[in-house]
Amino acid sequence: MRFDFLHDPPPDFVARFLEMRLAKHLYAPAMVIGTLVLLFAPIWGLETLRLRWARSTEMAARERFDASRAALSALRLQWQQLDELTARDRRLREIRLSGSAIAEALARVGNALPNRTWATSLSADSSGFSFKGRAADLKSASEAFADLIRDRLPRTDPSFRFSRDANDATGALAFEIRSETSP
Amino acid sequence: MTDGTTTITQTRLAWAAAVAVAAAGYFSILAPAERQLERTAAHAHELYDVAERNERSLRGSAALAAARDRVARDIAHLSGRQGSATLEALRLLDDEASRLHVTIGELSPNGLVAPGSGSQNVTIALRGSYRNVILTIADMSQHGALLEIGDVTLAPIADSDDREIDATVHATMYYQLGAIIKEHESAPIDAR
Repeated sequence: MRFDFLHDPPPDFVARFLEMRLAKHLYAPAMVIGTLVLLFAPIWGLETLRLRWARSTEMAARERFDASRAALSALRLQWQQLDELTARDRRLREIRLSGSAIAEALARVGNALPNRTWATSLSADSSGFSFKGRAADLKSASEAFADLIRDRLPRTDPSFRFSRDANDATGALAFEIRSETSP
Repeated sequence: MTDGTTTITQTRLAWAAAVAVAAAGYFSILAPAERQLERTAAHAHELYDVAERNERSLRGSAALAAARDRVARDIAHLSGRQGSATLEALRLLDDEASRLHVTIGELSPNGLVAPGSGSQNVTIALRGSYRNVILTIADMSQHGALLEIGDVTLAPIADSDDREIDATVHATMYYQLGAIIKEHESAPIDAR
């Protein structure tokens, strides 16, 4: 049945509610129910408010987190760039110092040349050196080797080989000292 | 008797309704709201913590940018002039020869340059006193053209009265910085 605005009397809920009568034995439970309703209504409102606050706090934290994450990604990119640049820089320095490193190695071996021996070839690269020479006799050659490894190039572990040239009337020995370690 | 039973039943039903209202209020309003609040607060706290950590990491970003600029400047300085490396190498060798009194006997490429490689292996022959040759080798890679000295062989000249030596230098001449970058990128991971 629809409400007729022109003919029907206005609904008077308050009057009807006031006209309602409860039996005495239902007073206590009705009071409790009423109290609970009155209690839960503000609780609901309060909880809704607290939830809204918590969500706004969460939103602010998320915005801060998003901003920091974006900045951190940019920072990671910068780190990566720095790593790459540092590797290139290191390589360039290696190239620029390659001459002096090898010259130093040559100078160390060359300056370690003992008496009664003479060099025929001295070569060095970044991984080691090779020293070819001639000595008057085996004693001089072995002294050269001992001198090199003991006093002048203690950090290296060179190999030594010698051969006597049958055609050489002076009886000189050819020897080679080779190391895979840079002097 | 019937009225009494009805009254008791009504009272029980009313109390049951009160309990139901209390339970409904608790389980449909209070408990879910508290759970939701707890979850939201925990999530916000977690986000805050992570953001705080991120911001702490970001505090060094200015120093990082400065370091990057410094390294980039250093690279530009170390790279020397890019372009005609051969011309630069010739100029360098000429300077070294006149300054340190060594004779440049040879500058020859070893093989053809692969297109796009940006580098070329060359052999340089020097002649001079032991000291000057060593000084030239030490100085050669430090100026102008980007020249990496690979290996050097020194040999005394058999019939020289001036105690001069011959030096054969095997070097790599870089035309472009890109060649070094390619080298770096193709290097094995564990070598970096």
